[in-house]
Amino acid sequence: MEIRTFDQLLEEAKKRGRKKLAVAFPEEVSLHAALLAYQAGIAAPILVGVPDKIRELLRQAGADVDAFQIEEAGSPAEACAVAVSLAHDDKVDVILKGGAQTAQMLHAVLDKDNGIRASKVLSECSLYEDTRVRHSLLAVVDGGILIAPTLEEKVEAIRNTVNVYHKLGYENPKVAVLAAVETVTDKMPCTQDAAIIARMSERGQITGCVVDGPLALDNAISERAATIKGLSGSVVGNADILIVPDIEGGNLLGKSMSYFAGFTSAHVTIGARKPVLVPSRADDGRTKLMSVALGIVAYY
Amino acid sequence: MGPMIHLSDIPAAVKGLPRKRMAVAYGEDAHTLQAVQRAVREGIVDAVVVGSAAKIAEVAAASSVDTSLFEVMDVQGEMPSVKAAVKLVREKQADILMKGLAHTDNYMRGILDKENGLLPEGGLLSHVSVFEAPNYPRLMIVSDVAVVPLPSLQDKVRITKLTIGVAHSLRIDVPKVAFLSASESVLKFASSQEAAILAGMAVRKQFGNIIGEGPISIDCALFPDVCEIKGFTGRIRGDADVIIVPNIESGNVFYKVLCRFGGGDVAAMVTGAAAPCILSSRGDSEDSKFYSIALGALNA
Repeated sequence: MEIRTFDQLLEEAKKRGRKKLAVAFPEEVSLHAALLAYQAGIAAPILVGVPDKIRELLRQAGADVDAFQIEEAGSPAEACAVAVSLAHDDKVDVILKGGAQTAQMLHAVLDKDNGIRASKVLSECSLYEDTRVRHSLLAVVDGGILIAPTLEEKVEAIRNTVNVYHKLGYENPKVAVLAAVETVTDKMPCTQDAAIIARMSERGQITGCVVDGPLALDNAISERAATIKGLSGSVVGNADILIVPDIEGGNLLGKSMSYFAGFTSAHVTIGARKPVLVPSRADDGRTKLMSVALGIVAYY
Repeated sequence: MGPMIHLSDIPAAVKGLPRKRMAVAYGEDAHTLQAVQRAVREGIVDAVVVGSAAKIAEVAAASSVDTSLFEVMDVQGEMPSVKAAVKLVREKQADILMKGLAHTDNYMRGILDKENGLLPEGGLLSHVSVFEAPNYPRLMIVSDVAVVPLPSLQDKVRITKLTIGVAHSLRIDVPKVAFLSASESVLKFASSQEAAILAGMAVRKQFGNIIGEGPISIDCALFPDVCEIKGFTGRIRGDADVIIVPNIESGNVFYKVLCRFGGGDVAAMVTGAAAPCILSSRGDSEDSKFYSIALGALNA
């Protein structure tokens, strides 16, 4: 069954039992996410940081101070390293970044000896729950990690995301490689990348999905717009995954859906052996919880 | 009427059209005069041969050419003859240009001259050859194997458009255009990625109503049984009408091998100028020269 709502996503996550969730240097934001996941029954938090500070934070949050495993780490960077090395040894299932820099976390994840790199590229998968128009989940890749992705990085990000969609129950997710127009022009190099990626898909060099591109956003998600433009194929109007040209495009598209359309989102960094969650301070509780659920379902 | 499938279909079609006039640049050799004689006798063109009148008369007498069949414009010397012939075309007193004894470089220099040449501003010249090979059931239109030394992607776009124009003149209404590379997979080198981009443009109808495929290797472009063996299920499966070669080196080799080993014949011309320019060489067969003139007349 294809997961089409966040409630379904949470139900799926619950079926996996409580997963061990390491929080690297917890502060209010990450602790809140961990406690929500704990209360929802999908996670068993392991809090990595300065034990006294962690207990104080738990008290402030009104949580049971003795209910959670605590692993000692003196600094944010050390906490990242500890959390990742626990994941490396399969003692942790999901990593949640707390009060560390994203760069510190990625550094630990990519460490050659103790890291958990699995794919050639780490990418962010952001899911948006469209409760108004198409009543489905829509992925935006990548609005968080890949700043100006090369052709090769885009291909790897597609492969990463398609793996997630298989876990979400989609046999053959529909991938739209976005640009501002659906025609190919050297004035907009992302349209050329999109054309190449679409051919790679036709050639079986990208499998487990259907890819079309370049497509403008409207052609990707609106059958009406696609028909007017004379476009055909299974992806146009029905895309599950939107590959954006760069981080600016992904960020603007994602935040537009959150703030203008009011869609709830969930975010997970993929391409490592375990899901890595990088919550934003501005995330609401549902986004925090669904990000953990997404991390779990995407990997387990 | 369906598409032309023999080179002999070209003069047959030209005979039904208003007679075109051909200016022959430096037509002081027997090969050229014999080709002109045949083309005029068979009703393909009228001709004006530019060169030394005395020399033309002498060569004609020695090679049984009837000079009453065409007009002679008495000009002394190679480059002055080329310029005079080009001028006839510029001034619309001729519809086709043909190279005589002039060296190819000088002939091209006359065509490309910025002030007095035949190249529209910002235009591109491209060589188009039309092959009939005994083991290929349709005409094969190949470009560019002779003029554009290091074609950029934009050059290839223009080459493709010019070549499609020639395909249309051969009554191939929806040409199948193969963007050639060494493999069907999209690989990291330029010709492969450019072929993917060009195919993407074709999919988006940016070349009008054609069926485009690429990257594709020459065997999949021309041989259905190879496609079956390779399991290649592209839009072209051994039935290409048009071959856009990756570069002049490979194109030239393909052209010359096909000329010598193909067992068929070829018609060729240069497109992109204000008028078709015939560029046959002494080594070409008599039929080949005749068909090239007919191809020029068809496209004039």
